[in-house]
Amino acid sequence: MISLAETIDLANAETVRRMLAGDPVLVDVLPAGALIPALKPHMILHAGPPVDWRRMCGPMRGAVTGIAVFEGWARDLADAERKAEAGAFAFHPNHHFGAVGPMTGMTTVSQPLMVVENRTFANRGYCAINEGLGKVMRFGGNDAEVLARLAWLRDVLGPAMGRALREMGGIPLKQIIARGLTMGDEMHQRNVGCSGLVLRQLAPALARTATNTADLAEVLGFIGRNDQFFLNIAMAMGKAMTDPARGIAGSSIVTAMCRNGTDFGIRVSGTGDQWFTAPVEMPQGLYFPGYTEADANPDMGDSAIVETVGLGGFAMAAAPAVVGFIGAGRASDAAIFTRLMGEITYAANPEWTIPALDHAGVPTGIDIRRVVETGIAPTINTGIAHRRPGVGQVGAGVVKAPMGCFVAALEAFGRAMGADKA
Amino acid sequence: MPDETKLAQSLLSAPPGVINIGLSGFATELAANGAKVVHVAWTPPAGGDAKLAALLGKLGT
Repeated sequence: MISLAETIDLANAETVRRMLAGDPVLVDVLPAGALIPALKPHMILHAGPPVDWRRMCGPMRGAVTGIAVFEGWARDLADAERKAEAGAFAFHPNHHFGAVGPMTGMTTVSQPLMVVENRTFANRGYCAINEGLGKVMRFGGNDAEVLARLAWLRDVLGPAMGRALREMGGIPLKQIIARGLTMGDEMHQRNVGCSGLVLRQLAPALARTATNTADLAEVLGFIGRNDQFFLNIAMAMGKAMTDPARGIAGSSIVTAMCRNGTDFGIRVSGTGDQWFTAPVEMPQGLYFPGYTEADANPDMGDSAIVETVGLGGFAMAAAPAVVGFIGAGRASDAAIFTRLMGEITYAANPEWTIPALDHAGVPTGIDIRRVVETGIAPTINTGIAHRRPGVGQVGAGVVKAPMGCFVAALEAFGRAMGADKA
Repeated sequence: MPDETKLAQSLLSAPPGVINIGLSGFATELAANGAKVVHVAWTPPAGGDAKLAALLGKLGT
């Protein structure tokens, strides 16, 4: 008879095997309503674990009112707010529909979603297209400029990307991530290399399938100017890679981490789709000129799915330049972050390696037992939103996943394993 | 002279070399006073929570 620890080890080996065996390919861009049949009008998917209107933070409320106007469900922002308070919209996490979204993470029927297919397991992950920097809905922006950009993404960029990807048969992502790690990207707050690599592959197909040169020029310019364009692709990839690792009895490996600006939530493979939540923490970082910590909203977004697959804060050693950008110390400290994450993970990814660490693989498969035992919380690289609705991004930084999620998950996992009785 | 005695004498006559485990304040103070010190970051399992440590003992790590 094998011990409890050996049972867990076998289950964890299978969970991480599934994560590492994924073959994610960016294959299409289509309207959310066409991809997710259960997504109906007046339904709003948001980042993080479940949260209702009453408990939503400022930027999340700002994005909700903006997207309601964008979808034509409200006359203006004030009307949208009244309707939200009256219960006119149904709120659900992106994670419940195979999707993820950055920061506020708004997903509604007409928005174009990028589709990443995991060809090993025949499942898909979805994420909206990155809006660029400045005033954007993911940071709670909701004025006419924000809504006009969303309309352009829906009417021009989304369809153009979809045509190009279908024509070229998709873009395999594992190799792009591997190269990006050698180009100084960690795929969360630095995506300069990967964004360029994707554009290089996509551009000829965009040209071959373009309906007019003015739109083509605008599309190429938009992607080329946006250093973070790849982030949302990496997120859809993370979702497509982690979903097959869900629901493995006996596994203590984390399959999702996300935040909604109020709560931080995690899922663990061995406890199915249950959320374990704790109050989300405030990022520590650097602020754009004119802003301070007093302006900051607590952390939010589904983007921590990239840390769940070993990127972002876990791959900090690949991206010394990002350490300064997010105010996390000296460039030479980058390796410390990655080594620390190695203390709480099950494996190193042999396909995604970091030159500065003598090509060690990125630490993958967060084990809740190791997190609670060592007291080392997962490190997440993040953008910082203004606490008031409609303002947008005010900085970038690092945030720790709250230990309370992991303690609650460990206690539930212990009960599931019968360790509370033994 | 036995080796143990030589070692004991060198410990008393040579400047100290210190390995500090746990609270970093001791290492910082020693370093500030010119001592050779290596700090080992260590905390009790589960931050010293006996109930969680017992659960981890059953689940293994």
